Amino acid sequence: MIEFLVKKLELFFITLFILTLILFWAHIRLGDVEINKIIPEYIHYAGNLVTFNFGNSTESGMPIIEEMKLFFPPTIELLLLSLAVSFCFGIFLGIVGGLNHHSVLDKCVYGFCLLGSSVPVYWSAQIFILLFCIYIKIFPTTGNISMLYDVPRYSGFMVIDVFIQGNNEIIIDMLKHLTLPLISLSLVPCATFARITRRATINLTQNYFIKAAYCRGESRFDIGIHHVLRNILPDIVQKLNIIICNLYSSCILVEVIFDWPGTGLWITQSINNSDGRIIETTTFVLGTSFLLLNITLDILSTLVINRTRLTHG
Amino acid sequence: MFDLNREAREIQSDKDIAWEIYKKSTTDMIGLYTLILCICVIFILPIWVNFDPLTQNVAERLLPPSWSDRGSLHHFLGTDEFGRDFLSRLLIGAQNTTKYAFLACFASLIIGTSFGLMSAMSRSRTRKGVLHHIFDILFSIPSILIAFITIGILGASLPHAALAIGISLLPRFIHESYGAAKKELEKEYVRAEISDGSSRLHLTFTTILPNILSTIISNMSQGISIAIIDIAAVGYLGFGAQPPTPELGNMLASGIDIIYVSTSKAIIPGVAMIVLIASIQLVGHGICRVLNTGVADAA
Repeated sequence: MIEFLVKKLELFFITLFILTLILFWAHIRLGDVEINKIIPEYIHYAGNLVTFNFGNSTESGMPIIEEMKLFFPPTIELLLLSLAVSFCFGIFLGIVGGLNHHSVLDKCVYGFCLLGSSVPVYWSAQIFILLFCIYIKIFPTTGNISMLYDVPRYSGFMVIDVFIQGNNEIIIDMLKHLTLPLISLSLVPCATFARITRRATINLTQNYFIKAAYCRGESRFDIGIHHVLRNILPDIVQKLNIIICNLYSSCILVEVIFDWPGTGLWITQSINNSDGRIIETTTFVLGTSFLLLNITLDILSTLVINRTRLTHG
Repeated sequence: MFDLNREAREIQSDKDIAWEIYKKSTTDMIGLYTLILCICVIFILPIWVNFDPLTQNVAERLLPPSWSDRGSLHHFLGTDEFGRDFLSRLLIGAQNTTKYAFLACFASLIIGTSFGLMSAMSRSRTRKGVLHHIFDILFSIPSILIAFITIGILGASLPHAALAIGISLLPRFIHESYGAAKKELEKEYVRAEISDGSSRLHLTFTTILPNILSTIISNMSQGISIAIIDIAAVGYLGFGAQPPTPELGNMLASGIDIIYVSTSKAIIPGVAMIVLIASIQLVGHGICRVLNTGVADAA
């Protein structure tokens, strides 16, 4: 186990080094670096990045780390909520489809998987805006809270802040703002989860212990919860990092469409202002956090799942 | 009893058998026909379409599609906010997106698969690790972010977006081909071939590559659809194809600007994209099914 951990950490530091190299290349292209002093410049640059000393934004003049504290919580909020929603619905749909293989229900689930993986997130967001903001005016299109309400900032996460304040009107307003981005962001990962779960369930139901459970007279629901769900979790955990990675890609688009004040909107604006500093630092922070996430998931799956632990020795 | 039909069935060529298996699934057939239709429409029809996608005509701005009340058959899908014919823009735009998506995906497929195979076949541990993990950093950065860095370095244009998406697809191909080749190497007929003294290169091309073809093809169909979605996404954010050039992404983005005036302009490019991607995925699924028929552990 310790050998495995050391190997993973080694890999982490090597990839971190490559990441700083790539970003330094971007830094050379975007800023002015003296070519004859390239190695001291790189050490200075990488040292600044690693110690979170990012400097100031050229557009607003604020320290980038302060701006990051403003823009990161809404993104994390949206990501986590949509991951939770899509996880629940996707796994439910997948198990239902897999247990009723070759039925009409299964065909519907398969159709949903196919559609979900071929609908681009920006198009579905546009359709939702068209349906629910223009034809039926029930949801607002921009922002994460109405401008009229003044919510004091406790944690930065709007969902938590609003509930701390505890004003019903503001809570409803927040939920209205949250609905459309959440739904349009959750569709694609929901389909991915459903596809993985359905495939895993179909493979699993050919085993004898499922047939034995049927013979014992257990209900479909019990089989789904007790036998199927636990056995397909490894398959899902292995794909979780790719799903989160793709989720962030679509999160950038959703934030731009719904003017959600998160990192996606911030990066796109900073590219438009050609503020190289922000692009580099955000990429560094996001890349590092995704790397850490990957390693955590790897270690988690090795600890929890017998099968992978055996292969790692 | 001697059965002539059976005799005839046994001497069918591989191609016929594959086609027979492919034909069994109706959805896959629908996908195949739709894909052929899409490719014909995208790549051949623009030769006969008379409208130039870049010519502006202010007198005929924002015409609705021909099936609505104010529309004319002259402009079948209406015109956009500068009076350019929407149908020819859609065709040329789909052509641009698809062309670059195919290019990015194929380049990435060839490079990625060769890296994966090389790392699976090499005996030395360090070379294996380096080849396998060299692009791991790309795996942990979201694809749009890779596109942002590339565009920050090289500047915004459609080929650069395609380059970025190709780079972001690389680790996927490397990992999948590595895993499949590794699984293949443990099988007995491969071991028999190794003990027969076949060289690594010969083994790779005659045994490993044909046997991991289904993995490669299913990845390729997914890769192309991801590439189409992502290139259009970069275009949607305004960093892909630059304005006069039509492209599915920036057409959708200009569609949302005029969504209060003309809703069809925000819907039609997306529908075209969905049809294209769904048919590609169906065909990929069908080919995979054909290659996997008779294989016991087919996923």
